[in-house]
Amino acid sequence: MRAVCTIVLLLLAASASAQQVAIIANRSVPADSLSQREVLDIYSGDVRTWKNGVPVVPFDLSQDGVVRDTFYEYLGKKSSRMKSIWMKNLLMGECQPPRTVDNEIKLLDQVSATPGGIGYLSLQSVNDSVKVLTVIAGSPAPD
Amino acid sequence: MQFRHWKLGVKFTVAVGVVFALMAAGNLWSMSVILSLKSDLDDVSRNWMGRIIAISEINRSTADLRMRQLRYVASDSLAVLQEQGAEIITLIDQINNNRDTYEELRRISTRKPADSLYEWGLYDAFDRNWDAYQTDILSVIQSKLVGGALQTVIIGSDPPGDIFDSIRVSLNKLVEINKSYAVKAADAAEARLQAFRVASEILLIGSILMSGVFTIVIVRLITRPIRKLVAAAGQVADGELDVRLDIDSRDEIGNLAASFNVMTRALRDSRDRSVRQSAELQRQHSELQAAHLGLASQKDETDRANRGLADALHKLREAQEELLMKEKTAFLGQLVAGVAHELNNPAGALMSADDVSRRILNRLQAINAQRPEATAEVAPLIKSLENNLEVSRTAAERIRDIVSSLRSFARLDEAEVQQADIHQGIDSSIILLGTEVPNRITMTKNYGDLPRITCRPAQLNQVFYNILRNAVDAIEGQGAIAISTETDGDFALLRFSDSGRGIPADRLQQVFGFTLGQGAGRVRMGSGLIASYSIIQQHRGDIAIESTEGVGTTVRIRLPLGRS
Repeated sequence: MRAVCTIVLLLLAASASAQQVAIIANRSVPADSLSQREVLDIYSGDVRTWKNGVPVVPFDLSQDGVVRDTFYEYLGKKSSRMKSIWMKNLLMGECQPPRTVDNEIKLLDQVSATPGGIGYLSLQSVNDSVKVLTVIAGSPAPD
Repeated sequence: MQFRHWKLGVKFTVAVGVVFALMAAGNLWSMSVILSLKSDLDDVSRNWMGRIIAISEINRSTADLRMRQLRYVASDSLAVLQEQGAEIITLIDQINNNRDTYEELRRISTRKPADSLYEWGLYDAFDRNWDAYQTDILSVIQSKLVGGALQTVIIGSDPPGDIFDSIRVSLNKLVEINKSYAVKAADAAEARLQAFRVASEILLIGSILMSGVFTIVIVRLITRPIRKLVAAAGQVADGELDVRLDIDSRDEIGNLAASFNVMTRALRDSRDRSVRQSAELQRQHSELQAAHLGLASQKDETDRANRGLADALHKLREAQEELLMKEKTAFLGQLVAGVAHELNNPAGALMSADDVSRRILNRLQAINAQRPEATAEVAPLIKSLENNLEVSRTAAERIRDIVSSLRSFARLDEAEVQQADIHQGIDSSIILLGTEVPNRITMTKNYGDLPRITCRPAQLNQVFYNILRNAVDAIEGQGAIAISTETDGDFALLRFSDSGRGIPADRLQQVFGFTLGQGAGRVRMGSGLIASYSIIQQHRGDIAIESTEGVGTTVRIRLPLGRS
């Protein structure tokens, strides 16, 4: 009985710490939700303008962590792969890589301040200064 | 159901099927082993070697990339920048392709080596370092070309360098570990191949032996019963029908054996039946033989009976003829008697008239004597009258004699047996012969001292008449007939001889038969002699004829006197 209870509690704890990541965008962005494909295109540099012609400005977190891992898992590509894509885009002069910020607070500020900005952070960090396009239910945090 | 009851076709199929199944199993096993070997070798070549190559390529590419990046950073012309940039792009592509290859190989690999977690840890470390390295390079590249203008970038500390070294370490370790896997896999394949070769050889020998055993077993299962069958058939052919096959199986051979037994039993039964039938036939044959003998004797009896019947028929015919003759005779007799009776009256009348006439004649003669004046006229008349009276008297007497003879001849009232005077009969027969007798034929009678004979006078008279008639007919012109009678012991001997033409010797045989006689100008049936013969026979007498052509005929009759 005690073993069962312990296992249940651990599972609950695990599920509780499953990171929910929100994809946020500047409030002026003419979209209220995006599909996974669209997000991937944006971050791959294949989509560079919003429908209203405003350039897309993607932001990326620099610190390794669950949020980052969850986001890239959602995109379906590893971060290192994305970096290769960005490097190619950069060298071919196509477009700049997403802007890197140190932490979520900076990201939030940047996205809310940049028209056409789009980024990702943990759901609990979201506030009204930005609009939430998608919420990703991540996998439980590794031990 | 038991094996031995399966049909032959099934047995064969099963046996062959088993053999084939074993062979197929062996083949399949071989194939699976070969496939395993192939997969092992695939593993070695494609999987491990592939991985090794991929990782080695990444290693080389990253090294090359590092160089390009340094050049890029150190370049001072856009052309170089672009050139190096292009190279970097190519290298990045190569690295990513090799990464794809490696990850794909990992994904499809079904092997789970014990330290695959370790390997994945190494790759993960490479990935993170590679990510960090690229982050740094990205910022360096970004800072090199700002707003289209080349920037001089001084590289101080070289965190990318450290990261790069870590990358290399991870990659080298990956290569090593994959190499070790490859070697292990190759060794495993080698061992498997060896084992397979041994097992294969064992299997080959085993399957040959098993096929042989199977074949022998099956063939024997088939040939043994067949041999039994052949032997039994041979025995039956030799005639031993008490053979019985005991092949206990419900397959075709078993059925054949059962049929054989049925057939043999049928043959036995048939043979027994034949034997019984033969015995029966034998018995019947004996019976038939006995019956045949019986029939033969019956036939003899029947023949005898037939002969008896023929005799009887002959006798019947004779009797019939006799009866006919008797009827004729009776009729004639009656006729004759009737005529005689009728004639009697006129004959009597004549006689009495004659008597009267004589008296008248006497009166006339007396008167004539008294009247001599009329004598010259009357005397010739009286003479003539006398003569006529004489003629008529003679004629009347003749009529009377004939009538009397006829009556005595017929003797109808005397048809029964009686004591009769033979001479009387002969005489009356003579009278009936007619005027020929005294005219041209001389009759000589030599009567002996015959007593009255017990006989049928009417019949005897018929005989005498026939003989005398024939004698008269046989004499042409003048001739003589001699009749003599005498006694000889208990018999009366009568002899009638004539001087007629005689009977030819060949006809003498048939004289008592049905022949045509030749009387002078008359054709007469000789059947009178048949009747005569028959009558004499009835009287228990004999009648015999001797005759010489041209000389004459003698008929001898012997009659028993009937004294007792």
